[in-house]
Amino acid sequence: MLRKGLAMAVGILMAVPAFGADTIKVGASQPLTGRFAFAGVQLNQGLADVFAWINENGGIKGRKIEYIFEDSGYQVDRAVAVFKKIMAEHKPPMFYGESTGQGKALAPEITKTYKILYGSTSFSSELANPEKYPYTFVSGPTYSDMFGVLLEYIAKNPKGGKPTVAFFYSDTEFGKDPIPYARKKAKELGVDVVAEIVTKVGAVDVTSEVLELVKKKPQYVIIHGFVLSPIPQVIRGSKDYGLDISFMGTFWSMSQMIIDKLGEDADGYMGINPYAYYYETDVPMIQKIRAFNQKAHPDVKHRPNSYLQGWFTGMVFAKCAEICLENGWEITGDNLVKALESIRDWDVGGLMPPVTFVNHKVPVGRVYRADAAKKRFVPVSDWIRLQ
Amino acid sequence: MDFLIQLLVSGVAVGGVYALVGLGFVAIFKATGILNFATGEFMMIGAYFGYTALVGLHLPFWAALLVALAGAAAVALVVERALLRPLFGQPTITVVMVTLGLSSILKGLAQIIWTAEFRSFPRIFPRKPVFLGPAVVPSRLFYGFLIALAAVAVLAAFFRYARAGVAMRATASDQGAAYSLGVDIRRMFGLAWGIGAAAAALGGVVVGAIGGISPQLGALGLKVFPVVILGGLDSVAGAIVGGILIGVLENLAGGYLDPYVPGGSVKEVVPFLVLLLILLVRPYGLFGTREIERV
Repeated sequence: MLRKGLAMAVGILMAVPAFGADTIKVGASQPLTGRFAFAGVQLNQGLADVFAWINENGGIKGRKIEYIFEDSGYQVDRAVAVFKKIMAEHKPPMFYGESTGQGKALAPEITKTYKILYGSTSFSSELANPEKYPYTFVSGPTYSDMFGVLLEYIAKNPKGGKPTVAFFYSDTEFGKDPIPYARKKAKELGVDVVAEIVTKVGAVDVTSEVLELVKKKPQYVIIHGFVLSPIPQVIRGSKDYGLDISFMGTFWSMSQMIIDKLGEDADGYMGINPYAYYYETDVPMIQKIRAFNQKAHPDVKHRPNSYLQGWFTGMVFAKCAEICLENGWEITGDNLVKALESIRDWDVGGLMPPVTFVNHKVPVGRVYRADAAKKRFVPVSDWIRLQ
Repeated sequence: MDFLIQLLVSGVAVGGVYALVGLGFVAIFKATGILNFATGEFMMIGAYFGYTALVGLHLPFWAALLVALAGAAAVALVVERALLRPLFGQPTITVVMVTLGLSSILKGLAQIIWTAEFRSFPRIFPRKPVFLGPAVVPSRLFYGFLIALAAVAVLAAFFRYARAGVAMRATASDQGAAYSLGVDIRRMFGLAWGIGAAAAALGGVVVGAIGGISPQLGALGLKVFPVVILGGLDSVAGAIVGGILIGVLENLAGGYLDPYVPGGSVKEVVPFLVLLLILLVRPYGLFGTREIERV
């Protein structure tokens, strides 16, 4: 473990490899330390690996991608400083940010001064708004879209009578982001929101929250704004009270560690993932990713969905650059955005269904259910595309 | 009525867990007069030692617990020797700033050694909840409370009856007088740090077993702060009383107020409201010594 940690530290220090002048540069401020590091390290590896894979396969029309990243520690001020440093030193036309906070903080300057294509870890609904943030995109559905997909599933699968749901979210920007949309969408679909429970990330005791569920008895509970704790406590607590509730999670709470933590109590836990899982070996792109990992990282047995988000976002950057080169456009932020908006039904080898950007996001996802015996998530719906 | 009983019982149980971490603050403050803002990180480091012993070395739970306590105590002894001893006689604020820096260093070290991934403890306590009348208590909280009670009893007895415990109290009360009476003050400081870290580590194992561990686990230390202020920074019994009061207040606020407040989170605010009130009215807490320096 120590060796792995030291290797990571050395990797951070040796972030910039030697490349020629004709490379296509992608900059990134990555949360390799701090509260979000559990995902940031994987996101960063996903981006680094997809670019290495593209370069191995001839690059983009013969041009190699140069990936320049630095740790930003999940702190907005530091992330902004890293962004400006990388922009000043390398002038990349594309950049990958670490958080919603960084995206919002930099948006005015990106719009007025830098004019580059900007993607990030964030699925914030606010960042997928081309009128307000013309250079920003979300590499998948927004949190609102995720609620939309889950609510559509609930509306079609009521568990007796009118479908009912409770929203259980954290008292953070991340937690509250999709809630106004979710309330509206539930109303449109005829799903009754019987409770909204707000709690802190990492809460030790959730008794009062579970008792609220005992009182309201929703058929479904959508949990959002957490990664792990207190999701296991809530699910176990409701089982202790004999409640028959289907719990659902959004992207960050659909990772393998939820199943590992819950053990047999994971059975029936559901949620949305916009990407295929690393163990879906019948998906062509997953096969390629696994083959790359076997060669480049032979010790790695599993990659979480944050790695796949990084990989997919790297594919988007590369695709936009490719469209520019195909059309003889200079690789600038404006042309890259034009390229992004022109993408229609792009085949990404099953990592996602054919990709079309709608308002700089891809409003699609699939509902998966945890199978405790198999220790993995299995799809229980087809890809659901929001209109 | 059942609703109220459930909230009370569960509040008492979670209060025990808070008290465990609170003991980490109290043990060090009681002997050295230092408020260790890295207590949460000692809790986190202890939880990782326990995790490594359980999962990496496949030790039984009791042995893993010993590894957690001894590991955290050893780190604390090194810290006390290398960082704090040279600061003897320096203003309190200097020492406080060092403990704040220490918390960042421990977080960074944990990430380098164990990576940033969340990790789950294998099942330590039985899955089946404990039924107390109409109240259902998750087994981890129930056993966490029992462990807290045992730890408080051991620590209280240590400070009351053990020679070293009495010497530690004497050191905290008046270093000059204690020294002139032959108390090895440096040894007492080291011992206090070791005991404080071990108590926090015990809390870390229980909290880690409830929700999993990551280098950010130490953030709970801040939440426990109102507990020790309420109980009294230098009172062992105060930690458990403070823990129970905060746990119960949190649960009552969560059960009765949160559903009616848009955006919720009254439950999270209550401990800090209590902290504010206590600092205004009785800054030394319910059972603390009156002479407490504000930092």
